[in-house]
Amino acid sequence: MKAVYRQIGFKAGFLAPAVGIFVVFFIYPILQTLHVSLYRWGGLSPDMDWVGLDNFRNLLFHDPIFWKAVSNNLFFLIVFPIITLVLSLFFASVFARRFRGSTLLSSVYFFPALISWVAISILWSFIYHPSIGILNSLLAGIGLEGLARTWLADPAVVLGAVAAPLIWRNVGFYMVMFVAAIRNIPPEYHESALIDGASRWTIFRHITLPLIWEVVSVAVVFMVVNAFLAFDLVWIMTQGGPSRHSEILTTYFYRKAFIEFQMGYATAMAVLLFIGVLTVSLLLRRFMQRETVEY
Amino acid sequence: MKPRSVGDAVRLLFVGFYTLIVLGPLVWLVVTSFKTSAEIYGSPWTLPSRMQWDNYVRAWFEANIGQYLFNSIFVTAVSISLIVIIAAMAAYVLVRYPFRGSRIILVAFVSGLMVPVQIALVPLHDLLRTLGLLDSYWGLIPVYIAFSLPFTVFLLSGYFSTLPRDLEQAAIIDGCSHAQVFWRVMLPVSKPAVMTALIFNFLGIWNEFILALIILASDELKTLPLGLADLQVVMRYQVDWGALFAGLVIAIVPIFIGYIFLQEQVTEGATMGALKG
Repeated sequence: MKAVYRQIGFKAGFLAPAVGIFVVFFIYPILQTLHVSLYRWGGLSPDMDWVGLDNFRNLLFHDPIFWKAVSNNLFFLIVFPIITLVLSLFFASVFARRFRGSTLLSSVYFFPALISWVAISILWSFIYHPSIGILNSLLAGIGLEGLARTWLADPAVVLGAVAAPLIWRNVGFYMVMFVAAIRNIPPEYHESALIDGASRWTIFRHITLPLIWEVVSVAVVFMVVNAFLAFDLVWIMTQGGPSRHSEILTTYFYRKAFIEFQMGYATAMAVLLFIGVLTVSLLLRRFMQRETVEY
Repeated sequence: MKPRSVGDAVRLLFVGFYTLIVLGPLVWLVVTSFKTSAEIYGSPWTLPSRMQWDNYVRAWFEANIGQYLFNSIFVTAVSISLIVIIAAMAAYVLVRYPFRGSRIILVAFVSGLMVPVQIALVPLHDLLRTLGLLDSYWGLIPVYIAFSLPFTVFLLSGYFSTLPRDLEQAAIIDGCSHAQVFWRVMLPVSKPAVMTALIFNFLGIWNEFILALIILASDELKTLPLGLADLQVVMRYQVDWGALFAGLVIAIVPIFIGYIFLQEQVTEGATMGALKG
């Protein structure tokens, strides 16, 4: 009996710190968000006015900025994964066959993934800077002065300009994941296809890609979720500007919650954001799983 | 790779071109960090006439980057050590000593992986204010631990469940208590998973921005990402680009050095996170 009690004490003691911290600083705030989203609340005062689902109704039906943010988010989570996927798969197929310098080069490609978003955002703000930046001067150098502009202040290009560092940071990261997956494929598969005279594209399309599809589909979900939740990058480079042209859900949420102190409205947006991320990643996973069955 | 065909040559060309895209901004950053303001306003392509180490001195002392760096080291070191210990203890009990409800607790931890941090920010801010933990590491570190638990518990419980039973039984027969088995036998043999967890959480916390942004306010507590973001706003008015560039280099160098020495583990630790998808 004594031993049994001792085991209970041991289990409880080992679980308590993790469960305690998790309940207080993770589960409680999340549940509280659902609660707060039903109130109008300035955040600092204890007065909260019950408004039912009004916050959600206003967001969905009376807030053009919310929809502007949603459409900017859609741009991010379509453009960024497609370009990143194409580039990282291409480089993975090149780097999977070792060549002189390939190890060093792939570590170079990977390195940006380790730098903080804040540092990357500041660095890229300077790349785009109209007077000291390198991009406009590069364009002038190759005779394309016409394309030079104030990248982060031009509504027509600001979204693309903000998406570029997202791609820059991630291509090497996914490339390394895909290279590892490709190198796990038994070499016989490729060899027999080569003997059959298949082209490299055919081999990639019909042998390599189906065999690493599992990894690719996980990566795509990961990319989409990351694009959905990007905050640091946009907040530091543009704060959602010029005039909301790069506002996304996370920056709009932050502005509402911690600058305008509309806490109830902001938490309603956070709930919608959560539902959005969950829906998109579940749909995507379902969709990509069906693809696998084809082979 | 010697080009043997047109296809190879094209591929090589793309690799060369992309190498320039990756390295260009980083090289430009380092070179510019040694220039005077006048030189920065000149051509971005010229080298500095003289190395302006003074930019680094101003960044370190006047712009407080030195302080932010030490703050980041402190917060990150304390957080990741506690995360790994706390998560390992919980994961160990949950998979090696299953009881009624242990499965549900494990699932609760792991489903935290799907939750974006935004959904907790407002109540978290309110909670910390009520507890008097805003603008303090006593508030920041527990929050970092809480948000790192899902992945760390997921990773370590997966690893613990693969270890053979005999390990514990032998130790118990030798007279170890359950807790001793964990500290002396199980944790040491789990070194690879612990290492991955440490590196993954290091990268996440070293680079973390939004939680620090809503929790910390005093300048002397700010971590590097927060300090750099502030510095960028300040320098816009003071137009001390040199110091800002130097500050960025100071922020990136520790990561670079760590990457050189621990390349394999870092790559592993970083890509493991993709499982979160």
